[in-house]
Amino acid sequence: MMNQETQNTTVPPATNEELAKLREEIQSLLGDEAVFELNGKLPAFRVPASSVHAACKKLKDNGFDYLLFVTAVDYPQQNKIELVYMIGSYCNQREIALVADVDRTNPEVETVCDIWQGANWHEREVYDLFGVNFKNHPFLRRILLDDSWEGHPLRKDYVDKVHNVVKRPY
Amino acid sequence: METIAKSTSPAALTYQDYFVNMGPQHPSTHGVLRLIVKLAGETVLGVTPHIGYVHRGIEKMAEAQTVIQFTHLTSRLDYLSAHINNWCWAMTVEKALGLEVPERAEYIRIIMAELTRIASHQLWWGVFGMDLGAFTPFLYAFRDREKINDIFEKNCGARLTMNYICPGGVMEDVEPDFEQDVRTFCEYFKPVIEEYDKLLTGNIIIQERTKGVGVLTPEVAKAYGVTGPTLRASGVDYDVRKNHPYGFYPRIDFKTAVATEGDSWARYLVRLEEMRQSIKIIEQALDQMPKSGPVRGKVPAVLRVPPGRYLARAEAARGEIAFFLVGDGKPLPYRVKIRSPNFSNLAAFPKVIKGWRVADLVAAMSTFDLVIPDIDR
Repeated sequence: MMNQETQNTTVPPATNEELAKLREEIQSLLGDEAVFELNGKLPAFRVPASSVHAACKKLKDNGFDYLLFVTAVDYPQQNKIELVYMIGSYCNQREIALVADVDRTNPEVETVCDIWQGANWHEREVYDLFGVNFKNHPFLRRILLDDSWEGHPLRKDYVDKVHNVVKRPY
Repeated sequence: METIAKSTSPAALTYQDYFVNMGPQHPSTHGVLRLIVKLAGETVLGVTPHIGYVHRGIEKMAEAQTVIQFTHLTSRLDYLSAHINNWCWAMTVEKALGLEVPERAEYIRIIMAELTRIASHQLWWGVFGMDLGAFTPFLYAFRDREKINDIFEKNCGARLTMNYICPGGVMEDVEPDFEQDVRTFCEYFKPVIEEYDKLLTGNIIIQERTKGVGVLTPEVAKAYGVTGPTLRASGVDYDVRKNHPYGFYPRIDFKTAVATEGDSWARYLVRLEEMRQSIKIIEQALDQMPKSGPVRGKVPAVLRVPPGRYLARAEAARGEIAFFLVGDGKPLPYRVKIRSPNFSNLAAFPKVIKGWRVADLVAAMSTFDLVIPDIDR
């Protein structure tokens, strides 16, 4: 489930040659469905959730052998969870974020465990704290919290019934 | 019970697989980490780490406090790399807001970070000896680590959770005799590393228990996102200070310590070499550092994180730490993700130890140098 038009996507002119080169290279690699965005200072490509696995595979085969982390950002107003795959390389300076939106009520995406084995724990963490379901994950189980925990704490609408968190006025 | 007695011989009963809980309270896990170890006799058939016993929800807490306030929580991730964590967070904020850092502050940051690295490796070295049954190195290491802690205490007021490096520079200028103190320490420490060598490196028991044990191949290390000395011992020359230079590291001449064997022994040697390199870095930084000047740049009263994504990476004592920050124009971060080095390093550990003995598990785990609060966040 995609709703790309709601995302604040700005495609600024590339700030330097390297970035432009990287952008061009990855654009040709991932095809037209990947949209470049420089929202903030981290170069990112937005792909549909259904092609995350294929995009990761292509990147891995082209020198991006280092998965820093997999994480997510919750946007309740837009009813979406944005997955962020931070991908780098062990031998050069290139780094790229792959972002994909999933529906907030039924978040589902293909696992990338078979591409980077290290994704296993990162995806378990995202499942634990955001409730994103990774299809074909070998062992999708809560990792940081107890199995009996209710809810997914890093979602914005999560209410902690146990701990009294002081809300600061600023 | 009856069926077992009827169907199998006593010898077969002896060799049953069984599971042992190592931890959450176990001296050689160095924190509340639980390893479920599957054993056949003394041979490790598999290890399943269970983490989260000290999960404090730091990423969630970050969404409820300003970027400056969050600095103190970064010291509580990997408490042995407190300065480096503070630095990495400061870099994230500086990147987001485009803050300038004065030259003197940049050098102070390097010196503090490298002192932290030495202190961390010293502690590791002592504890490594203790894990293998030698108590003397522990006392030697703590004797020397105390000297670094004294420098920290004098200049930051804290010995463990520093909160000294902050967005825009450092909290306040160092004491006037900081340079002298650090130089005295460097001079003191150089022969001490050789002493470390004599005490533990040449020890035949240490060598036999670590050489060839727990080999981490570069392919496995890369697949799991392993970083830091653990990765470099496997022959992958990846150091954030070199590959993604930050601060004034490009101005400083140093080598990354690399070994090719990937076993516990290689990890041991890499960390010892890193201490020597850190001394070199500190001495160069002291030579280049301006004798006076501002230590904190112009920082707005309220730091509003501009909308967008920001990432900063740094080489902590155990590997690459990275902060991923999402802002929405408000003083509170919209989302903070901490990429902690130990999390990925531990994930690769079960691959390393399969097939070795229980005693090797303790030795290999010690060379992974895990800090549990960093894994759990």
